[in-house]
Order: sequence, then structure tokens, then C-alpha cells
Amino acid sequence: MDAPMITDGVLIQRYVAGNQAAFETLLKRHRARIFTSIYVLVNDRYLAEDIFQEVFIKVIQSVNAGKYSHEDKFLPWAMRIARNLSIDHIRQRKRMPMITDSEGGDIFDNIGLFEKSPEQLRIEKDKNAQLRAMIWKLPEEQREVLVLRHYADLSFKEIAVLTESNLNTCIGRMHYAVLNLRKMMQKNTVVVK
Amino acid sequence: MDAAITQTDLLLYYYDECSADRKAMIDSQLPANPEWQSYLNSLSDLFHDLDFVAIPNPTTVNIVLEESISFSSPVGSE
Repeated sequence: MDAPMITDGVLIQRYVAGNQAAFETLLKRHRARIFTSIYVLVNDRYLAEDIFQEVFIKVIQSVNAGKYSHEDKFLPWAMRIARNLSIDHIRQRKRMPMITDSEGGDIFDNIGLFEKSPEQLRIEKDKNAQLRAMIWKLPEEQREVLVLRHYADLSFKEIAVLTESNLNTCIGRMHYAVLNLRKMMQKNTVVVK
Repeated sequence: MDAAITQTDLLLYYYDECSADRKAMIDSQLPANPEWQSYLNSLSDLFHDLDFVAIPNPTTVNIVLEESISFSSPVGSE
């Protein structure tokens, strides 16, 4: 059915050897997970676009400088860069006036997007904005683990390494994130279905 | 909740990250344990609600791709 997937490590080797299409494949493979994670972490579409660019420019520089040594662990490596840059930007933003989020900038790539009516899309967009706002209200450590596990699809072990935390601490943070989100949802009665 | 199995175990089970013996234990006891089922269902509902995917703007992607071309210097495989 599906052709065997070329691993990330092989794609990087091919790109370094001059195969541009390999980089494009790598970017397309991971763009949604990395971008969604950044977006949820910083809760600002425009800032997320900037950070996404920065992440991949760092990736390009490191790979071309021969500094990539993670073989098929591309996603955790790229997510480490994304996470660190997001934290830097969040800290900078705390010291600066709030950047207002765009009203029309959200392009959510849901399955069946094109089959939905404008009204359905509007409802979905509102719901997504509410959910992002709730995630944003979580304590930073809980938000981080939730985003890395749920949106970046990293394992708890990978998250523990990335955040330099104990595995049980990461799992505990996820557990509390779940409890807190559930409480917030009940309180705010988000339309979720 | 069973004394031996905690919500943390169930969270790991949900993500298919618990140890093989824990998984076997949960698999075998789950049908008779509505409390676990309820917890797993609530996780499933919550994560389903959180499921959304955002993609970067095509302009952003193009900038990255242009950058990748300008940095790339074919070196040939050894």
C-alpha cells in the first residue's frame, strides 16, 4: 500500500549531498507538527511563523555545517530548537507590550476542511482559539509537556531528555495539565463536539 | 482506582508508552474496570477536543526552502 518511508536521517544525508527535494520532503513531513507546537506554545500566529522560520534556518545551518548527528531523531532535535526559541520569545514578550493576534490569520488544516461551510469553519476557528487560550493559561511546565506530547508527538522519554527533567516529573505535569484543562473546559463550557 | 494501577499508568497506557507487563495487566483487567474505562474515555475525549493542526503560511515555507537552496552546497557522497 504505502511505499516504505525514507527516514529523516537519509533525507538529511541526501540534502547535504545536494538533493534539494530531500529537504523539501523533510520540511513537509514535519511542518504541521512543529508549527502547531510553536503556535500553541506562543499563542500568536505571526510570532509562530517567525519562530518556525528561525527553527528551520538553524536546522539548515547546522546540517550544512555538518553538526547534525542525531540520525533519525530529527523531530526531537528540531523541537528542542523550537521549544528554546519559543521560550526566548515568550520571555521577551513578557518584557514588552503584548503583540496582538491576527483575526484572520488562522489557517487550520483540518481533515475535510473544504467540505465545511463558512459557518462551520467560523465555529471551529472560535473553538480552536478558546482551546489555545486555555492551554495558554496552564502553568508553563504543564503547557510545555502537553504541547510536546500531544502536538509534537514526542514520547515522554524524549520530552524528559529535551526538558532536562525526570521522566516521572514529565508524566506528572501531563497528568495535571489534563486535570486543569478539564476543569477549565467545564468552567468555560467550550463547545467541543 | 486499582491499588496497583494509577492514573499515571493509564495515561502512559493511553499513549502506548507503559511497560509490557503494565500493559498486559491493564489489558486483562480493563473490561472489568469501568473506572479505568471512564478515565481512558475522558482522556480520549479531551485529546480529541485538543486535536487541531495549524500549518505555516506558504510564504514562510517558501522562505525556508529558498534559504535551504542558498545554504546547500553539493559535496557529493563519499
